[in-house]
Order: sequence, then C-alpha cells, then structure tokens
Amino acid sequence: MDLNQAVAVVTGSASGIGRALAARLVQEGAIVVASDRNAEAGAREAAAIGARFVPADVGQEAGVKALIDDVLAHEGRVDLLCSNAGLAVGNGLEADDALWDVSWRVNVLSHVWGARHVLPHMLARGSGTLLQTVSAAGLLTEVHSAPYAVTKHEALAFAEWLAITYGERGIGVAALCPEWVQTPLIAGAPHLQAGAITPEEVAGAAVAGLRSGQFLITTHPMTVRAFQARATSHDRWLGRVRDLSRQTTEQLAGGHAFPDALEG
Amino acid sequence: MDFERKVIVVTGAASGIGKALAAAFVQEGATVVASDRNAELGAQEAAAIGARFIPADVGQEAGVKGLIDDVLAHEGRIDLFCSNAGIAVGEGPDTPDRMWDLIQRVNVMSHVWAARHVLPHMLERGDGYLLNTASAAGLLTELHSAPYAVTKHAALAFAEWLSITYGDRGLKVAALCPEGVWTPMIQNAPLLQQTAITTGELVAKTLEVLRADGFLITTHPSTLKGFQLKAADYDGWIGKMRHLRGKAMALLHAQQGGAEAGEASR
Repeated sequence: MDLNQAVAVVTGSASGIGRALAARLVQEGAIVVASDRNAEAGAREAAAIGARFVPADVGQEAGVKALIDDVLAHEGRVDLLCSNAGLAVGNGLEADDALWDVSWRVNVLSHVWGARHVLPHMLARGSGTLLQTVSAAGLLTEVHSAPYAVTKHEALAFAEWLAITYGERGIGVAALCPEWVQTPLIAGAPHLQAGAITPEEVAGAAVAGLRSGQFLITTHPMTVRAFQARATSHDRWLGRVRDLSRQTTEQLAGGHAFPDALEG
Repeated sequence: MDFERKVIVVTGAASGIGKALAAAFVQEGATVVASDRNAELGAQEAAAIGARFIPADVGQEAGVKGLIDDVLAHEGRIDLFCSNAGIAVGEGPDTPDRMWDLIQRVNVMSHVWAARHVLPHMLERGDGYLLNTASAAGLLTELHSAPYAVTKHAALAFAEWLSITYGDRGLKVAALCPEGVWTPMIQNAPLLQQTAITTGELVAKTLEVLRADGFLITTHPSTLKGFQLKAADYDGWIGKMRHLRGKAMALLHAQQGGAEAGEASR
C-alpha cells in the first residue's frame, strides 16, 4: 500500500512498537491517529510525533468502535488499522482465569472488534489494510506464559482467516510477528533482551511489509526457520524448545518474565 | 502407552470422535469413563460400549473439575485424559461475542481447566497422558468459521505449551489434528466430505501415536503438507487457501441449493 496521505490508526501507541510504528507512519507521510488506554502518556507521545490522539481501551468492544467512529467522523476514512495493543501477562498455567480472560480480550477479541467495525467501511470502498500485531510466539510459542502463547496463536489464525476471506475484495492483511524486541513488555525478561532489536527496527519491517503487500512480517530470520522446524517434525521441535526453556528458566533464577498481575 | 487396565477419561463421548475413541479404549482393555453434556445420549452410548458415564458440561470449569474429582474418587487415578469435546460455531468477525466466548470456553478453556485439575495428580505420580482434540484447522485454517480456526490454533498451541513445560516431569501430551472425519460436525462442509475418513480410521491412527508416546496426530497427508507449505511460503499458502475458499463456497452453495430444492419438492 501507499502510505503517503493514508489515514492510519495505531492502537497501543504510548510505548514500544506502537509508538515507533506511529512515528514511522508520520514520517512516511501518513495522517496518523494514535490511540492508547493510557491517556496521559498517549497524548504526550502523540503530540511529540505529530499524530492526533484518541484514548481508547481496546479490551472493550465499545472502545474499539468509538475509536473507529471517531476517525471516520474526523478523518473521513481509515486506510490502515494497526491493531497493535497487546498484553504479555502470566507465568505458567495460571491458577485462575483472570489473565486468560484479559489476554483473550486484548490480544484476540480487540482484533475481532477492529475487523467488525472497520471492515464494512473498507469493503464499501473496496480498499483498506489491517495490520495485526501478533508476535513470533504466534508461529512458535512463549514458554513463560501459556495465555500469551495461546492468544498469539489465535491472533495469527484470525489474521490469516481475514486475509483468505477478504483478500479478493480489496482488503490487505498483514501479521506482524516480531521476535525479541526491546519494549516494556520484556523488561523483566533479561534472556529476551540479549538478541533484541529496537521498536524502530520493527516499525521499519512493518512499513516495508505494508509497502510490498506481504501477509507475514517477521523481524528475525530465525523465526521462520524455527516455524519450519515445527512444521517438519513437531516432536523434535518440542524437544528443542524444552531444552531452551530449561536454560532461560535458569537465567531467570526464580524471577518472572512477565507480570503476573494487572496494573491498576 | 499401552491401554490395558488404564483409567481413561473421554469428554464429548456421546458422538463422533469421542464415542469412537471411548469404544476403542474399552476394546483395548482400559477402564473407560465416558462423559458428555448430553446426559441421556451419553449414558446410552456409554452403556452400549461398557464405559461408566458421568455427565459434565466442559464449558464450565466446575464441570471439568467435577468430572476429574469423580474419577479420582471412584477409579483412583487417571492415566489418560482425553479433552475431546469441541464445538464448531460462527462465521466471520460479525459472529456475536457470546458465540466467540462460548467456543473459547469449550475448545480452549476446557483444556486449560482439565490441565489445571488433573496435572497435580499426574505430576505427583510422575506419569500421565493428555490427549487434546484440536483439528487440522489448528495447523491450517477453517474456511467457514473464524472462531473455529482461531480456537483450534489455540488448542494446539496449548497442547504444545503443556508438552514443553511438563514433558520433563513425566507428562505426555498428544494433539489430535484430524482433517475431515465422518461425524456430525462436517455435515455442512462439503469440501471436507470429499476426503473424509471414517472414525475407525481415525481411531487406528490415534492409538498408533499414543502407543508410541507421540505428540502430533494427523489423519490426512494433506494436513502436514499444507502446514509445511505455510511454513515455507506463508503468502503463497494464503493465495492457495483463497482459491480453495472459492471452491468450498461454490460447493456449499450447490449443497444448500440442493437441500432447499429438496425441501421445496416435498
């Protein structure tokens, strides 16, 4: 897609990949609407990069719908919806359902709600692109959090389904599957920081992928190689990840990779 | 694992894959506890194959926990727990949230709840096997239903996660990923019917993998071929699936058109 003068919406824009993506889209000449649940930091970051800010909690359908309605009312169209906000919580299997439920809403249903409310508009115009931030965990796994691994697989499956179903009706879909990014999400996971790239590099990969109309956008060659290993021999891949998991668990030395409670 | 005198629990045992698996385990000499949400049909089918029946709604954590507690109290242990119950509902993004939530509960959270309540027992014994019914849709997709495709990916990812996390502690995990099998679930999927296998063939493949303590159970060579194509060339795979979707929709319309014509002629 052509990003110059495109109306682009980015959720989860107050930090990490969302902030870098919004900034990069502004640089590419897009009209960017940045959104975040954190109204204060979100507004400040949006002002700094030259984006309009709309606060929204995408863990609620009403939040997603209001954001899209607001952009349609003000900017008149949505060319690119970046459902980027995501959540990495939990350690292990989880003794209760709270973190499963919030991961399901934020990492999966927010993408469903985004599609539900923006697709009628895009299909009517016969054009539009959805960029879904997934994670390499959607192709592989995340050993430290079952809810994260599971909901990221769901997000990728949903992106795939949209690409297959609406691709012939002018809708572009891209799944952003970065591995090892230096963001607040992995602040507590030192083993992930070792090979980490910057959010700006991820935004660069996303923009390049959007330009060429790719579905799968990755940031590390090892992601697809590992995915191919998973597809070639599941049992061998499971064994390898088990070994890796043992090492990283030792590195964490009893610490937790992800928060096991929700802030606020 | 071998099945003789093992305590095996099968959910969704009133029909389809669950019923066939439960019957096969009985024939192999296992003590089988069959469970289903449909108490009447479930009890009748269980009696017919020689399994004890416990009604349970696995769409609720209490249902899963009640089932596991009952088996531990009566049979004393669980060697193999088959989280088999699943549903196929919904179509696209407009599928109402209550349907999304329901399919997430039945196809995904029921597996989480089973692990939550049976793992302490299995880890304490240092032995146990979980068979989680996913679907080829967990590796590929389901053209007619986004909620099904999404939740089956989740079921496979969760089975993988369990195997990775607990594989060193004596827990074995298998993910059942059948493509078309002749069950009530594929009555509206004519494309799957073209290559559908019988539940007997599915059972044979499943038992073979469980005997070898394996993880991934597929029923059609096309499943892994498709998954490997996806891994080799994701965008190429999407293009192929778009083409297949066109075929599937045409077949579905032909079948529905036929059914409607049949109704009209009555």
